[in-house]
Amino acid sequence: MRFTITRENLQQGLGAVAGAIPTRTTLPVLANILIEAEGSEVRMSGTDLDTSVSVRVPAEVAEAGAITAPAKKLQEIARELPGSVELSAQGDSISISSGRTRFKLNGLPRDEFPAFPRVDFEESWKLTGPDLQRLISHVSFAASTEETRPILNGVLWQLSSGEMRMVATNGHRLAKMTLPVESSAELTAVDLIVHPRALGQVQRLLGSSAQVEVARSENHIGFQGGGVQVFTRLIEGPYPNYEQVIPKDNDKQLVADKGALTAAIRRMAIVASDQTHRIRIALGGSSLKFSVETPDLGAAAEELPVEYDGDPLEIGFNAQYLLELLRYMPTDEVRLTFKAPERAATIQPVGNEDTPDYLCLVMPLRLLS
Amino acid sequence: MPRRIHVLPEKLANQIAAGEVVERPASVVKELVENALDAGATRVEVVIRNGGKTEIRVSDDGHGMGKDDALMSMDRHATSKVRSEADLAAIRTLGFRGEALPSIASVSRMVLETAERDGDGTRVVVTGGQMAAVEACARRTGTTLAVRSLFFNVPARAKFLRTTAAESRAVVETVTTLALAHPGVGFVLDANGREALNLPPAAGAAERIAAVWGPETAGELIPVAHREAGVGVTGLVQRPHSSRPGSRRVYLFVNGRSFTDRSVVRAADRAYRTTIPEGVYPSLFLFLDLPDGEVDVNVHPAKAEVRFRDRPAVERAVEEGIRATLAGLESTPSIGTRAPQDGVPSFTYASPRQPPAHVREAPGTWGAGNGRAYAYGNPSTPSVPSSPGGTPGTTLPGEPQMTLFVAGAPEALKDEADAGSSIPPIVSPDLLGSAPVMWQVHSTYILVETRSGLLLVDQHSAHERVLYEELMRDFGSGSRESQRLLFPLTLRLSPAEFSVVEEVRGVLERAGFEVEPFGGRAVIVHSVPNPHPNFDAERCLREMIAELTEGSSLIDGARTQHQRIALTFACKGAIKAGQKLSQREMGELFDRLFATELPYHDIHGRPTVVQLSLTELHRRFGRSA
Ligand SMILES: Nc1ncnc2c1ncn2[C@@H]1O[C@H](COP(=O)(O)OP(=O)(O)OP(=O)(O)O)[C@@H](O)[C@H]1O
Ligand SMILES: [Mg+2]
Repeated sequence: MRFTITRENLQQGLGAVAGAIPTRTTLPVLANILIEAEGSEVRMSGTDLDTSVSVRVPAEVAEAGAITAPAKKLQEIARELPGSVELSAQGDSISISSGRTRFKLNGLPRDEFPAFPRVDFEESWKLTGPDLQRLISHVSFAASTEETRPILNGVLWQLSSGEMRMVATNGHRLAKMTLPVESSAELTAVDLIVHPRALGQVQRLLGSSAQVEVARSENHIGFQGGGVQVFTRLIEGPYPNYEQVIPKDNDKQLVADKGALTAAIRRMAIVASDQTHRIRIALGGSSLKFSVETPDLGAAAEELPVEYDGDPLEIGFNAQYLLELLRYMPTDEVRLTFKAPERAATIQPVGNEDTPDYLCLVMPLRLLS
Repeated sequence: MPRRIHVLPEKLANQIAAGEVVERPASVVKELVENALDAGATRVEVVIRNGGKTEIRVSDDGHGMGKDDALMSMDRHATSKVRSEADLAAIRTLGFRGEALPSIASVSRMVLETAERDGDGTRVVVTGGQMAAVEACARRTGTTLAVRSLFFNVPARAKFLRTTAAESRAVVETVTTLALAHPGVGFVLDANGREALNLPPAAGAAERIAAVWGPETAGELIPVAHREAGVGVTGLVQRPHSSRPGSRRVYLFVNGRSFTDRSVVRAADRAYRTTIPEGVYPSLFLFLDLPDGEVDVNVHPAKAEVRFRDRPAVERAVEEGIRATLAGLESTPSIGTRAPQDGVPSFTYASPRQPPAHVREAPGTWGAGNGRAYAYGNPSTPSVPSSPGGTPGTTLPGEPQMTLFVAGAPEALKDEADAGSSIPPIVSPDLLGSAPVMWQVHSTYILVETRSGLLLVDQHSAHERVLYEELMRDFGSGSRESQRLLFPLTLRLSPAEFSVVEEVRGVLERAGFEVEPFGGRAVIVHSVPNPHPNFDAERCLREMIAELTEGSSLIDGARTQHQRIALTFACKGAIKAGQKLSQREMGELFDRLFATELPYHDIHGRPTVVQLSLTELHRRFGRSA
């Protein structure tokens, strides 16, 4: 294998794949990048066995072939090279030269690198990168990071002919967004559960692509567009029935300024308990009253004028959950809805066209006695 | 009518009194050694033959007696120690009745030899209560009492004497007890020509204990020093993790006098609750110090028991004192041997109100030598071997890297060493320097630098202690935060489990689990506590219910339902070994651990913390002097 490549192309390719390389691994080859040269391109791939990424970048290929090279060292070298690069492999040895600089690196043969999942893009959904990006960036944060219920570690992605939706929750709070899609082909609706880490790669590498093709095999899902491919193992379902827990009869509603709300909650959070982060919210009259009281620490209170004419209500929340959800709200005003101290509250953006169907909900913290 | 009532002849009266005071050779030894101590002896020698059945001889270097006193001492109710009722209330001597010598003399052949300072010696021989001889003799200051043929004239009592071995054991125990209360006095006990005890004068109880049972036993003990409502409690108690079933030693003293008292022992055991497994009892060496009038020592014929005017106050002081000790770092195990040092605490207060100083110094006192100067290598000696003949510019594999500067004595270490015994107490706020770096090892232990070395914390054990005390506190304050679940949990239970859940539902709810029956034997859980980010509520609750149903050594020792729930919740809900923790999480765990009452003990009787002192590190690296 031998090819010449511009420093920029090499760096770009390596940078794209680097995110898929595990930082620690027991399988040495996983710390390597697979480099395949053929035609007028070089393909670089990396994997942590769950998620794989590959990128194609232009290069002048003198001799086709493949090798795997230590990802980190190669990236460090690429960063320091003066100009365009000639890269060749002889057996397991990789030579890199640029200007008057020469490097030799030890690689591993290509057949030690795990095979990528086979996903057939013949039958695929055609989506736009920005649509995917919007869904992922508003929803995947809500997935659980605990290991207790693996299913909640994934993001539910529902695709049907007219729309697509993502839902994620950790069992305490949930985010859900739906977007309309124009689908050309007649495809049966599917529920996919995808790990947020893979969605992160999709967002990063395909978020601005005009077209992203999405296809699945039995256990994997693949994304491709603009020379980039991302594959990931699907998490096995079924996903819990989230529709059932989304409140439909929250009769206490108010609209508040997101900035003011966030600022008030942040102040309350200062003296909230380190473990539960519990703050109290009281509705009634024309204000939203926040308060917090933590034994051995202190107390705080604040009032925020709002338009509200419903029944009074007192309810407790984990301030960190509220702040997190507010952070993802794309508009300056948000609508909050409540029902009772033990029932879910919802937060939605007000007045946006961009993300019309976005809803977050959060379960209260109760004070039991 | 003839009178029915008459006064007993003195000899008979003495024999009857002897029945109460003198039960066996050990009781004779007790009375005689007490007399020696009352006489201000600095050295007491006890010789017994045949377990004391044949002969008991107690010699002292006390103030001795003149001839008149020597004769008087054999009379009933003759004492130099008490004159008035008020004296009795303020009694600080071990004797006060003036009964011991005549009682013993009435049932044995007794020879008293005594001499005052600069006085002539007197020998008094009494046989079966009958004065047989009084003569001058030559001897140095002090007293020797020989008691031969105990019970020779009361065969009924002689029959009750046990084997020589058993009687000897009882004597050893008696002398040991007296020796513990008087560490400054030297004791020798010779049993049938064999030296059973040889205790040189000691600086304190710890040293005396080490002399009796060896340094290992002494090393398992931690000092108690506490004063509360006029009751002083000092002494030593066993580290919880060192306690083993069936090996307990209990010695109680009040104002220098040994006594037995089950409920004081129970108060001590209460202090150990949750730090020690069920059925394991710690050794106790406790010295109570009470003002005159607070304790009545004249309630038991052999003075084995006492009566406290305010018993609850005494028990509280004992419990609190031990608890305070168990709350300290000294109660944790440490890597490296702990040998008792010179300057073992003497267990006296400078003033009652002042915090007992030696508690504060305890870590050093019990560590591997505090306050010593460390000898560092000569600063001019290069610490790194130079590589002769190494070609400049090439470093072969395995070649040591040359250092630019040759290391001298590490400054930080020098500071520590200079600080010596003035290193402040290791308590939570000062325990760690500012912004300590914590290092998690094997996702199980947290390693952190302290001012005097290293601490290793077992994350699970530490979190158990935290959760237990936090839940108990929340039970007390009446409220607990609980996260409502988006997807309530349903648990299917066995009939036994179901009825347990029904029974404890109220307490479970106050612990943060909102549980409701859900038809059949299923329950639905609407909300759960959230003690840490990786908390698995369902698994925790399942395991709690199983433990509550089947019972376990952990929860069977609990006194209340609340305690049962708190123990099982702590055990099942705590962060597991193997859980990765961030710096922030480790820091938080530390803060919460040191906010608990007993940070150094988990709820199973295991330590949460093991310490490795800088001193021990120095020792291992051959740095110590
Ligand atoms: N070893 C001794 N050295 C000096 N004086 C002694 C010694 N043994 C006894 N005595 C004197 O003899 C007295 C009588 O002793 P005895 O033991 O009978 O009574 P006690 O010690 O006063 O009271 P108790 O009966 O409570 O022991 C003591 O009060 C003391 O003055
Ligand atoms: Mg006496």
